[in-house]
Amino acid sequence: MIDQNKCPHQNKGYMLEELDGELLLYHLDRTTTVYLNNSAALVWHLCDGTNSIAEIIAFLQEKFPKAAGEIADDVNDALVELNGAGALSLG
Amino acid sequence: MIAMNRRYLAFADRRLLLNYPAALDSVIDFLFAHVEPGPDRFPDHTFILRQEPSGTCVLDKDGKEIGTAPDSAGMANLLMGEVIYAMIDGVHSGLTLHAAAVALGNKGIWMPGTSGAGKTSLSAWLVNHGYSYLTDELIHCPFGGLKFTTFTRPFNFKQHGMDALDDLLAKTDNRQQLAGEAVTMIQPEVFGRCEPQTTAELALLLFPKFQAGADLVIEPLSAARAGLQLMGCHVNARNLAGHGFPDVVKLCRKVPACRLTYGSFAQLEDSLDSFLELALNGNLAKHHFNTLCRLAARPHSVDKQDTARQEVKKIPLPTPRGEKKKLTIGMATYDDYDGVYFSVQAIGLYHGEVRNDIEILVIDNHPGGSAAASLKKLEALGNYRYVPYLEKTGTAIRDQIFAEADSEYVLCMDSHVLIAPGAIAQLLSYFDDHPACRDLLQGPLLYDNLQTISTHFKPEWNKGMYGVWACDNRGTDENDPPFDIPMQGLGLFACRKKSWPGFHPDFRGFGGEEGYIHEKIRQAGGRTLCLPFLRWLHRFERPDGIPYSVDWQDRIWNYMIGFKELGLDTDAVIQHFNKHLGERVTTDILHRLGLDRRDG
Repeated sequence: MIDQNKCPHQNKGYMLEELDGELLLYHLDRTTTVYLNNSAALVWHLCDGTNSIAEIIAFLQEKFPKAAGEIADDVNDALVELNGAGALSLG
Repeated sequence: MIAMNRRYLAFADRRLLLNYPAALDSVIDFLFAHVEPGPDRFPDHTFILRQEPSGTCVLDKDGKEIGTAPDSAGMANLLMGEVIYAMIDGVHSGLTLHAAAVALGNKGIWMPGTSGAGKTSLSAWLVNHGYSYLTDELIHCPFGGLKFTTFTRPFNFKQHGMDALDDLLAKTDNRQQLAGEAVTMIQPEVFGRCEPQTTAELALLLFPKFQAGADLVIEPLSAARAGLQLMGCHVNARNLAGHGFPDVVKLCRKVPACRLTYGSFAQLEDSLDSFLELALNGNLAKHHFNTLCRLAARPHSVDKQDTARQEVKKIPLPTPRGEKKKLTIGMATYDDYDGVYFSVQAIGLYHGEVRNDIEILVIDNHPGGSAAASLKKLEALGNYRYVPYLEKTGTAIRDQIFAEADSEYVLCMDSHVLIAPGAIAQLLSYFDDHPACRDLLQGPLLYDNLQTISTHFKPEWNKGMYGVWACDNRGTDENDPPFDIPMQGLGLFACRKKSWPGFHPDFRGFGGEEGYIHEKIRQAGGRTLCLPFLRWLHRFERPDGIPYSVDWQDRIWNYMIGFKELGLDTDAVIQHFNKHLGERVTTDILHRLGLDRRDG
């Protein structure tokens, strides 16, 4: 489990394209493409280095109360995946 | 002295010169018969092919030896690989992609994929089924458009691919092939047509994945997923600004995409060819393209359930137009047979006095669905017309009701609305008294207790919607005269066919229609009236859920473009959604919609 007080931030060097709420990131130096579905894209936008993981989860739970039960796991899964892909750092 | 021949080969903005022994002319012609020599200019690279007395072939590129092969089949393989590499190496004028391509008329299908994905086998199958062969290897798409050119070589089958070809090859006696250790090359004409100089435009991205024994699956891909896949097949990225990433994305925004997983050619019969025909020629909306993918990939199973599922693919024919009537009562439906049944039959039972004056029009927005055949059967009523319709879904489908209506006046209602007895006859009388009226006519909504009513919407924002149900006492007695209202729910309304202003063509999904259409009527010089007699009961409860989705993005989009069209204050829309959804979510949606720019 990631420390929920960490403030993840997007890594630099990515070109970004939004397509119907999904995101494609492309890193010129690494020549890698990263795909983010709608949920991961939402998490990505919130990772600005100032929001802690706990705050991101709380924000999304407030906005999507029907899915509140799954949001914590979904956010953590997305962060692990995005971190693994090199798209963000966990802070 | 060995006689040498020369041949120019061109692709995209590249041109190569190949010098080779005249004795190898037939092999070279086999390899490059469909490759154009290109414009008369100095070549980017020069290849020299030499054959030693031992039979060994030696290949030089720009004066430097780059490879040898023991025989002509090995040489063919080596030369083809080096030529393709040299072609890709310097292309700057567009995207170059590792993909197969075929065409039907001027519609092109790309099949991008890495080695082993099944590109070559699938293109051979398609060529055998009437498509024209373009390439199994390399596509060039100049920036900014969908027209493309191809490097048209013979099919290059790997051994496992050859095993699958027996059925296709058995259909011809002509096996024009060059068999090597790892690859067998076969001329495309063995399978069908080859027209490399096509003017085809890309119409579909089909990502193949052959897996022996796998079920047939055709899965629609979002533009982002297609972009991810296409970037993996983009072979001249390093030559382009931004590695061509923005151009790949631009292309994926324009063209539908799907992934095809298949385990044998037998699965493709009557599935893939039908799917492609509809996908290429249907000009389908995204939603319908996705439905088509699912329908086309139904398993070829013999159990009863699957047979029943396959039958629902048949779209019923529209009912021919009958005698012109005074009033069309139109409704659109999406799989809501019960709603339509009771709405229509209630008109027959409780409004018999107007039977000869009305036609009932049902626009079926899911004619491939399970309700379609039953909806069609209702045409036995005589004054009922069934029309399947796939082009648009959502609130703007009401435009289609007006387009199809064959009468002077139209009453448009939801497919789950009941009209108070006598109200249709009174409406016809009203039209008799006001034959040229430009007004939008509505009536009080009757609630399930059959007593409480709402005569209109107050023009206020509430929970993501513009309009709040309200009651004006002038509407409580059904004999009271008409009065102006600001807006009302669109579960039932009527107007002259000629007075219908239509929705903004970019409206999508649901939401944003109330208030918008009322203001549009007023701006066109009409009034929006409540006729107290025109009472209607609306089924709000849907215990089994609704088969379509309502999302904030569509709703905000409709409000924004509707308000802009009518010159209303879009800041009010943003302020409400900032409050309702939160500023961050609203800003994100506006950004996604491209509506966050003041000049947009």
